[in-house]
Amino acid sequence: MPGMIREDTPSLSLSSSVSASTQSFSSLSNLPPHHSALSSVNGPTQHLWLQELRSEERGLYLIQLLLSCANAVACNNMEYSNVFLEQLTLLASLTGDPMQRVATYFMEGLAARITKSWPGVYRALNSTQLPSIVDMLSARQVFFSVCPYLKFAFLTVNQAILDAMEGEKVVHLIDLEASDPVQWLALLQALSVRPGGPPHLRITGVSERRAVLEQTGQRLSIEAEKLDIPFQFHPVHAQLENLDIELLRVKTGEAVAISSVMRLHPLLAKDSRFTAHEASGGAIDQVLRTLRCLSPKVMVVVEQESSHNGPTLLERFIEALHYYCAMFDSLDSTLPQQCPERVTLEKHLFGQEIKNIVACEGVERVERHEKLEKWRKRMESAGFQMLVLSQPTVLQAKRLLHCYACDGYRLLEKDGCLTLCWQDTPLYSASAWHA
Amino acid sequence: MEETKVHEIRVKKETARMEPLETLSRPDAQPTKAHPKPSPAPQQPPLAAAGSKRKRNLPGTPDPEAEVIALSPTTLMATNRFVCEICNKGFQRDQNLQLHRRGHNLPWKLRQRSSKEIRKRVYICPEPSCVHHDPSRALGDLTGIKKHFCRKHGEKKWKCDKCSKRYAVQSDWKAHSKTCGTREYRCDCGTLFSRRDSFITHRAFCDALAEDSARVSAAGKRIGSGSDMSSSDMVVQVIGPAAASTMSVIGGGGAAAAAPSSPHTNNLGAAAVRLQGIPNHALQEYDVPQAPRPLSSSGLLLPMVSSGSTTGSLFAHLFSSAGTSMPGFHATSAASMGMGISGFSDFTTGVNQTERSSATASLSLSSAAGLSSCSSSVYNDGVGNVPSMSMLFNQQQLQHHHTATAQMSATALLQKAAQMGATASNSSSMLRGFGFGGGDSSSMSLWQGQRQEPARVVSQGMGPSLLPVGLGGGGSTRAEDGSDRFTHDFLGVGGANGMAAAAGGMGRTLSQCDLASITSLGPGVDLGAFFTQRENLRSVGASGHSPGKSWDSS
Repeated sequence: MPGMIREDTPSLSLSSSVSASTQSFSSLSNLPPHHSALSSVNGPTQHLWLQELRSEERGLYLIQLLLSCANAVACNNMEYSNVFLEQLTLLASLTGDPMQRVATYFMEGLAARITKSWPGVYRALNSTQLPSIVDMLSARQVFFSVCPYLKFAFLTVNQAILDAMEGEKVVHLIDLEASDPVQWLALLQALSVRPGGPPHLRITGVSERRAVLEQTGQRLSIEAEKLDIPFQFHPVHAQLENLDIELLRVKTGEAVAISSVMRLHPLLAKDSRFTAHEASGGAIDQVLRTLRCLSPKVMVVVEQESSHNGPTLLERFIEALHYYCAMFDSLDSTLPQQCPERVTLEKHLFGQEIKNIVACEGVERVERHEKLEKWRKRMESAGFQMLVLSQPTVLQAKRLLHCYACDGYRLLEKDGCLTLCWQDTPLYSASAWHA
Repeated sequence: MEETKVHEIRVKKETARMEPLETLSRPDAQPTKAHPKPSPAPQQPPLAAAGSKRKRNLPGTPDPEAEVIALSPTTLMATNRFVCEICNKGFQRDQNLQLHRRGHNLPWKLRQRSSKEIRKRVYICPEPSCVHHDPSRALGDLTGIKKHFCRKHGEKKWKCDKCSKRYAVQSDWKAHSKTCGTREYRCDCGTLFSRRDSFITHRAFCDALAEDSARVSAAGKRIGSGSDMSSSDMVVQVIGPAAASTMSVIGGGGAAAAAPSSPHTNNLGAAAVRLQGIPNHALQEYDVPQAPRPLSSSGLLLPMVSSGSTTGSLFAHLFSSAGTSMPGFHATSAASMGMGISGFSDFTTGVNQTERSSATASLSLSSAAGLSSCSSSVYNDGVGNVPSMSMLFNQQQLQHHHTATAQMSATALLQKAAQMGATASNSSSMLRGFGFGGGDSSSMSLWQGQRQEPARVVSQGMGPSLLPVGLGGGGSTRAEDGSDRFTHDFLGVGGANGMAAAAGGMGRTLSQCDLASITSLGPGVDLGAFFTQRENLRSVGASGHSPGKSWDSS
C-alpha cells in the first residue's frame, strides 16, 4: 500500500480526516497527482488541471489559498507560505477575472511581508521598481474618470461647502490634500453662478509636494480669473502631522471650510506606538484639535469605509479582501478585462494600497482605513459636531450614480452621512462637521 | 389724477426747454429739438435716496423729468462730439475735453464749466420708424442710443470668423467671438445652445426626451463610460438633472457628426458607432436606463433647474476633468471597448438578453454578435433541443455562454466561501464545501472517477499530519483535527526528511493535499470561523448568524 501510494499518488496519503466530507476534497487533491504522476516535478500538467477549473471554483480555491497563506504568514511559517504562494501564482492573474486580480495583489502583499523580515533583501528586490509618479497620476486619472468614487467625494464636499457658505462674502477653504485641482475647479464654477455672486475665495492647499502645489495654484488661479472670482491661492508645504496653525493664515471673520478627502487615515500611522483605539495624544487627535481651533463652518471628511486598521494581520486581511473584491468587481463592470488602463489603475492605486495594508507595519503602514463610526468618535472627541448632509447633496450623489449605467452602485444615507457602496459593500463614506 | 400728473410733467418739461440747450454737436450739425409728448410715465422705480446706487430706469422708459435730445444720424455717429472752443480739437469724451482744456491755462472764470445743474438727458433714435423715436421711449444713454442705432438701422460690418454671424457694433462682435464655439450644448433633438440655462430649460420640455427614454429603457443596461475629454478647450457639459436621455457631447473637431444626425437611433448602436468612428475624441455618454423615470423626471426638472446651475456646474466640471486627457485610452481600447461592450453584454447576468442581442447585432462586432444572436436564438426557441447540428452547436455556445454568465463576482465568491465555511465549521472544519462548491456535475465528474481510491486511502486513517506520510514518518493519525498549531507539528512529526521531500519535487503535488490537511488544522485556520468572526465584527444586527467556532487571533 504505501509503496503504491508512493509512486502513484503520494499525496493521497495526506487525505486527512476520516469524515466523509473530506472525500470530495481529497478527491480534488487526487487530481493533480493523477496528472503529475507523470512528472512529479509539477509543471504543465498542473496547469492543465488548474485551467480546467471553472472560474467559480478557481475563485473559491483562491480565497482558500489566500486565507491559508495569510495565516501561514501571520505565524511566520515560511515553508507553508511558500507552498501556498506557489499555488497562488499559478491561479492568480493580473488580467483575469476580479477574483484573480485581487488575489494577485494580495499574494504580492503577502510575499512582500515575508520578504520584509529580511529588509535588505526586500529593498534590494524593489530597488528597480519604484512606483513612478507618472503611473500614480495616470492611475488616479483613470480612477477619477471611470469610477464614481472620487466624483462622489468631490461633489459631496463641494455641495456641503456651498451649503454652508451661503451668503458668505469671504470664504477660506483649506484643502488638506491639495494634489488635484479638479475638485476646486468645479467649486469655482459653482460659486461663480451662485445667486448672490461669487464670494472672495481663498484656498489654502496643504501638501508635501511643492511642485504639485504650484501647479494646482496656477491652474486654479487661471480658472478663477476666467470666471471673474476674486481668488487667492496659498500653498502650504508642510506635513499634516506637524501642521502649524499659523501657516494657514486664517483671518478673523473669514468663513473657514476644510476638506479632507482620504487624508486623515494616514495620520493614524503615527499612533502606532499606542494601540489604535486608546491613543488620545496621537497625531490624529492633535491635528483634529488644531483644525477645530480654526472654528470651521464646515469640515467634510471623506474616507474609505472599511476597517483596515486592525491589530492583527488576519483581521486586516479579511477586511481588505472583502473591500477590494467589491472594488475590483465594480471596476470589472465598468472596464473591459484587457484594458491596460484598468491594469494600471489596479496596480498603482489599489495594488499599492493592498501592499501597504498587508505587508507594512508601524509608521510605514499608512493605509489605515477605518469605518465611519470610528471617525465619528474621533471627530466628536475633538470637539466637532456633525452637520447633516443636505438634501441637495444627496440628490447630487444620486444623480451622479445614475450616470453610471451599471446599477451596482448604491448610496446609503444614514445619520446624516452618505456612504457609497458597491452592491452591499460600503466603499466610501462622507460626513460633514462643524465646530 | 392722471391729468394733473401729466400736466405737471408737461410743465416741467417746458420749463426745461426754456433754457438754451447746449449743442453737443459740431456747429454744422442741426440738432433738432423734439417736443416731448406728454405721456404717462410707465412704472418708474421710486426715486432712490441720494447716495445709494444710481437708479436705473427700465430700458425705453425714461425719466419724465429728463431732457429729451434728438440728434441726427450723422451727429449720433460722430466720434468727436466734444470740441475744445479754443483750438477746435475734438474729443470723444467730455472728461478728455476737460483735461485738454486745462492745458490752455484759462482764467478761472472761464475754466469752470457753466454751473448748471446736471440734468438727465435722454435720447431718441433718429430713425422715424423705430420704437425709440418716440420721446416716451427714449433711451437714457448716449452710447446706448448709438449702439442701438447701429444695431438696428446700421450696416453689419463685423463678422465672426467661426460662425456666420454679423454684427454692426464692434463690442458685440468681440463679445460674441469670445464665446463662440467655446461652449456648446446639444440636445438630442439636434438643437444647439450656447447658453447653459436655455439648454437645460429646453431639455426639460424636449419631446425627443420622452421618445428616447422609452427606447433606452428597452435597450437595457449600457456601459457608462466616464472618459474625459481630449485636449481641446471645449468644456464638456453633462447632464444637469438626469432626465432619461443620452447626451452626446461634441468633441473638438465635431467629428461626432454621426451622433446628431441620428438622434433617435438606438442609443447603444449610436454609442458604438461613435466609439468606433471617433476613437480620438472623448465621448461621454450618460444614460439612465431605468424605465419609469423619463416623464416623472422631467417634472422634477423644473425645480431642479434653479439649483441645477450650481449643482450642474459642479457636475459638469468634474466630468470635464481638466487635466491630461487620455487619447491613448480611446485609441487603443476603442476596439476593446467595443468588444468589451458586446462582451459585457453577453455576460450581463440575465438582463434582457434578447434586446441585448439585437442591440449588439447593430454593432458590427461579429464574434460577439454571433455569439449573442446564437444565444438569443436558443433562448427564443426555448430550451427545446432540436437535435440538429446547428442547434447542437448553438447549444454548446449556449453552454459556454452559460458558464461565462456564471462567472461570479469576487464579492459573491467571498460570500459563498463564507457560507461554506460556516456550514463546515460545525463539522470537523474541513472545507468540504469546496468539493460541493465545485459541485456541478460537470466538474465533479472529473473528480468522481477518482473517488474510489481515496475511500481506500482514507480508511487508512492518515491524520492531518503535515508531512507526506507515504515518504516516511508514519504520521500520527488523528481522528480529528488536532488543536496543535501546525507550526509545532511542522518540525515535530515526521522529521526533517519529510519536509525535505516536501520541499523538493513533490512540493506542488503535496500542496493541494497539504491544503486540505492544513485547513483542517486547528481552530485558527477555520475558514468558517474566518468569516463568521468578520460578520460579528461587522454588524451586530446580522440576522441570525450564529457565530461559528470562536477564533482567537494567531
